[in-house]
Amino acid sequence: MIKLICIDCGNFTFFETDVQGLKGVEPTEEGIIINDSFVENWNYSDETIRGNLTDIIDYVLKQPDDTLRFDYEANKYYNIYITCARCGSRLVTIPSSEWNPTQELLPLDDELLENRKDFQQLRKERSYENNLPVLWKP
Amino acid sequence: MKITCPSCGNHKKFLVPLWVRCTFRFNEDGTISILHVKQLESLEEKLANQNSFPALSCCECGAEAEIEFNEFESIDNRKREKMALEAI
Repeated sequence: MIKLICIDCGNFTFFETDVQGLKGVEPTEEGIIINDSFVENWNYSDETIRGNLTDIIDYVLKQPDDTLRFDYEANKYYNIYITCARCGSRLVTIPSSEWNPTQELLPLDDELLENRKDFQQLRKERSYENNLPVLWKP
Repeated sequence: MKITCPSCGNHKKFLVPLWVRCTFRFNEDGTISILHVKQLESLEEKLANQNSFPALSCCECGAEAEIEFNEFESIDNRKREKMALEAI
């Protein structure tokens, strides 16, 4: 399933983004040692990069309109977080938007009427609503 | 160089945040794989600017760390003052 697509080159696999990571600094007599930071065998540096990367990707996928800015000179929208790793373009977006749905949605009332029988069937199967709550016991 | 935490006295482990550029791939099963990580910031600059723009923090308590680049600077200053007084 395509999650993001580059409008310039059509790439939907390889992308780039900037994230903040953490490095461990250990001062010694000879100088300082830079390496990954560990907290009881748990690599804190790796997890920070992975977590921040996942956060940015989830945000871009969930809020695509917030992550796009309009470039008045180019007359195009560009992504402020993610770039294409193949061509370096910032014209990266999700393949379709809720503002441009691929299928026409029914009005909610029509959809409810259409699914009425299914809901009635479900209502019969829902056992937990068939009993009144016991408020008092003698 | 001497790095210390003024809050808890730790002088062994510290953390520094660094911006990196991640190249990643969307796999067919929906997961994400990181292909490459490129450092965008200079660690030397961060350490040199610690007093004006603190970045280095204590691993134990999270307080801003203090860096003393030349531990013998204060001793040199005292020597110079002593020599100046002797000259007078």
